[in-house]
Amino acid sequence: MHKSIVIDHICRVEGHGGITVNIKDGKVSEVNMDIFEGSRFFEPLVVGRAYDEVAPILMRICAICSAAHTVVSLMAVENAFGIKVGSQTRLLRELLVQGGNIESHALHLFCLVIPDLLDYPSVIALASDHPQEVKMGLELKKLGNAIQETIGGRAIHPVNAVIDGFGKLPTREQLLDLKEQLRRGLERSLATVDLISSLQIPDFCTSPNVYAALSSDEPGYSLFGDKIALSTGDTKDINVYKEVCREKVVAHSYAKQSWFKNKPFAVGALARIALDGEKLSGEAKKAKERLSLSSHPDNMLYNNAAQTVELVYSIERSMEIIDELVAVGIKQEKPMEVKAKAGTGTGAIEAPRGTLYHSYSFDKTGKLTEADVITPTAQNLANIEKDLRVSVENLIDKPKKSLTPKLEMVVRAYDPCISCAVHLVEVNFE
Amino acid sequence: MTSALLKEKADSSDRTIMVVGVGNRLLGDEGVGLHIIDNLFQIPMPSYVKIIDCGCDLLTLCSYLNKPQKIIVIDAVRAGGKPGEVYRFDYNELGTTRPEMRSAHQLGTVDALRLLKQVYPALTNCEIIVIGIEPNPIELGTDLSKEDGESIADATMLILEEIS
Repeated sequence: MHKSIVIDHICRVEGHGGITVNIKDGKVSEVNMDIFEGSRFFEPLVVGRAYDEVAPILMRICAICSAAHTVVSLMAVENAFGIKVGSQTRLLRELLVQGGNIESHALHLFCLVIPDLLDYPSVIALASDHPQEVKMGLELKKLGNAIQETIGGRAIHPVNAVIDGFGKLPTREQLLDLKEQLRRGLERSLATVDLISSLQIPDFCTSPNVYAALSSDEPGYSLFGDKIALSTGDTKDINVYKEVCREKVVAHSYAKQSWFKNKPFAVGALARIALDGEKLSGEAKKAKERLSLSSHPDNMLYNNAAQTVELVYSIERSMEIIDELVAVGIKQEKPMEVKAKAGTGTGAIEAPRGTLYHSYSFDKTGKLTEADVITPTAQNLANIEKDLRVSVENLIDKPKKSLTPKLEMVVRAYDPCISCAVHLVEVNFE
Repeated sequence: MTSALLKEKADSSDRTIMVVGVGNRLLGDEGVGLHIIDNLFQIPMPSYVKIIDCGCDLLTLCSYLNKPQKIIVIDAVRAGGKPGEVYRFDYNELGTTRPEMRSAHQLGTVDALRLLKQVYPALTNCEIIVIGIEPNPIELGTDLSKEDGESIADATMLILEEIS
């Protein structure tokens, strides 16, 4: 019987990162997951900075989520100063964020999930046997980066998106070229649906989940919204996001955990589809049916199937946005001159891994006095611990050697943004 | 010294060298590769040199691959030396202590290079080297430690020699 299982080095920040599961008398006594995230880290980086320095710093929290961090940071600043952006800016920002979603989901599915489901030790081993499939995944990631480069000015860490608009706008020709790339990407995303639907998703981590995602009164499926909807039936305005993310400090982790009504909850692609999946249309709607998403609402391993559906959705939606922009014509709008004032503003967005909140307060000169950043990973932490506990209980009789990869698989299903913070190379001299 | 070195270089349209910075700017010495890239952006470069800030996602490199002859990756590398020590590794020297380890979300630098080389034929004959800088313990912050800050000049000279 295992006494303690330690899965270390999920994150290589000194002394932090990893999962520990303690077992006493054949039962799980403790599950701890330690990560390096949360507001206590991000706030000191921006306090005292001017309003226009905040987004360029905080988008560096993660390369893959840099589009979402940029846009939500700009929204929080604009809300603090009472700035309302126009429809062209809204569409271009959405396109930028859809690019981030395509990049992130493609990377996660092909580099981590598919090797897991096919029982390969790594994507490198998978690429030895199936180079074309892995290349397809990297080409999808490249498509997401191409959108970000066209709209944001760089493949990651966008520089064009600024307060009240864009420093540089794309041309009609650039948008049409992007649409052509998206057309090819749609075929690849449908091939990804074929691939994922042919794989067996295990059910060892099934347990009831509370889901949370942004919602709006707009008719289509969206990564934006002014309300937070929960599967409990509750709805909250984004300005009171702390009523949803009641943060607890836990001794074993640097990150605070989020709880709603004393229950852990999950955010991310599966949460979005569980709450708003009826709004999907086109090929994404067909993909949702094909991957039987409605039949497995409580198995977090289906988050990966939900990401596959969103890969199709984000490509289709990007094409729609381009059609809208091209039909109306790109207007040469200049961002307004910002008049700083004292105030507080909150922005929220559905980032690839789930709802992302940025909330800032400024003094009358526009210097930041307080900042709160709650990442999807921080919100999912308590739910990951719940799913690890359930999984260990379901697999307790399995040999430790086979149990450990299964627990890592649970963590990976959430696509947590942990190691993107640190990626030191280790070199051994023999 | 720097400008003298660059004067020796002749532009050549049939070669491409990619200089790629990797790291997270919010984690002190973890971002040393990007600080070095910032320094390189200030130096006039021959047209065959392409400098890329990959943040903490080296796979973004797949957006830029156009049959390069050489890729120089600059990253924080823990190899047991003193903080600020500058290393040069050939691709074939690179290894990890846990070759089968996958991070929860993303590939490490060595694994990402391996994957790109495996999947993209454009890299088959490409020379890949890593310029590494030994970090101090990683802490949150946008500044480098004194040792890693002082290593930028040495690392820059090493990169310029690799480019020429």
